[in-house]
Amino acid sequence: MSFFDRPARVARTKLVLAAWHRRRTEVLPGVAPVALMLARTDDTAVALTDVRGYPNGFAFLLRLRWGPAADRDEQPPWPVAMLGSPDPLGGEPFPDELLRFGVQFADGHRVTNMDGYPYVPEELPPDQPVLTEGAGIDSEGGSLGRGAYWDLDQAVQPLPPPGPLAFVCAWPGRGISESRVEIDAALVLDAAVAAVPYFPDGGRR
Amino acid sequence: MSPRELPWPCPNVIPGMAPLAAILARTEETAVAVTGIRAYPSGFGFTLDLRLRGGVPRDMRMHWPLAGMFDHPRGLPADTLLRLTVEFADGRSVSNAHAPRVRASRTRTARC
Repeated sequence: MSFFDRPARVARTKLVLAAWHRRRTEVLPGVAPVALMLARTDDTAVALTDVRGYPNGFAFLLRLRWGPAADRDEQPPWPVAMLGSPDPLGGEPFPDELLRFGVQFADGHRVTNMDGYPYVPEELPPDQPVLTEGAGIDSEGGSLGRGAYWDLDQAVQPLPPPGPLAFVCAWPGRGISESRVEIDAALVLDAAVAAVPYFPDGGRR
Repeated sequence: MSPRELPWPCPNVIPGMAPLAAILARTEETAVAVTGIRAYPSGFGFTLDLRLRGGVPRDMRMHWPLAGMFDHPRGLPADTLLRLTVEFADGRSVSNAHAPRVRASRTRTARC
């Protein structure tokens, strides 16, 4: 290994993201009729909408809502582990203030935002789901009345197998214990089948 | 009344999702599609997907393509902007070409 060679997992991550971003620009996804409330307390809600199926995975919008803050000018805290590092927490325990979120397939495979997102190891099996940033809607957040919100665009590759598809979250710092909501993966698979290329020649011009 | 003064979107509601995605128009260089139709008690939102390729002039690549949402440089030909109209079954319609100027959200979600 030369001085400037990057770790294998970084190269693998770039490959995953590049393929995903290329696909999202070439394909109009199908949409699944899914709107879920994953968890809710008096002042916090975690919901999921905008499930979109692509030939190689699916995307969704994770919607976080905070109730009124005591300080009107308070900015909504970033609710997930910082991106851009293979070890975003520096080996420290996952803080209670951050949202734990994951997806589990019917065959038992699962991925969470605690798995070193968005870095994945080089030797990762192809059927192991990968969680990346989303597919075109873009994440955004800000004040909402006296509360706040984040809409996080997320994506999972590959497509799930038939059977239950589970979305799981926990947010200890917001009083949310582990919550699990399942849908039929057929909803996602049907959306993926409905995906069509924007251009018949695949956009390669 | 500014569109920003309307009670929209409903902040305390998870929208229902319509399982619909459709290409509205397509040429060899341009595709216009709608997806992510979200229904709220007081209206609906959607994502407008635009794909441009080929001969897009360099000075046009960063311009917001929707009329009525941003100021555009003087002299920019009107036909370089996308017109979008939503029409109901009863004949009522709304067009971005006639809507008051608002700041578009980063989600590219039109507010009609």
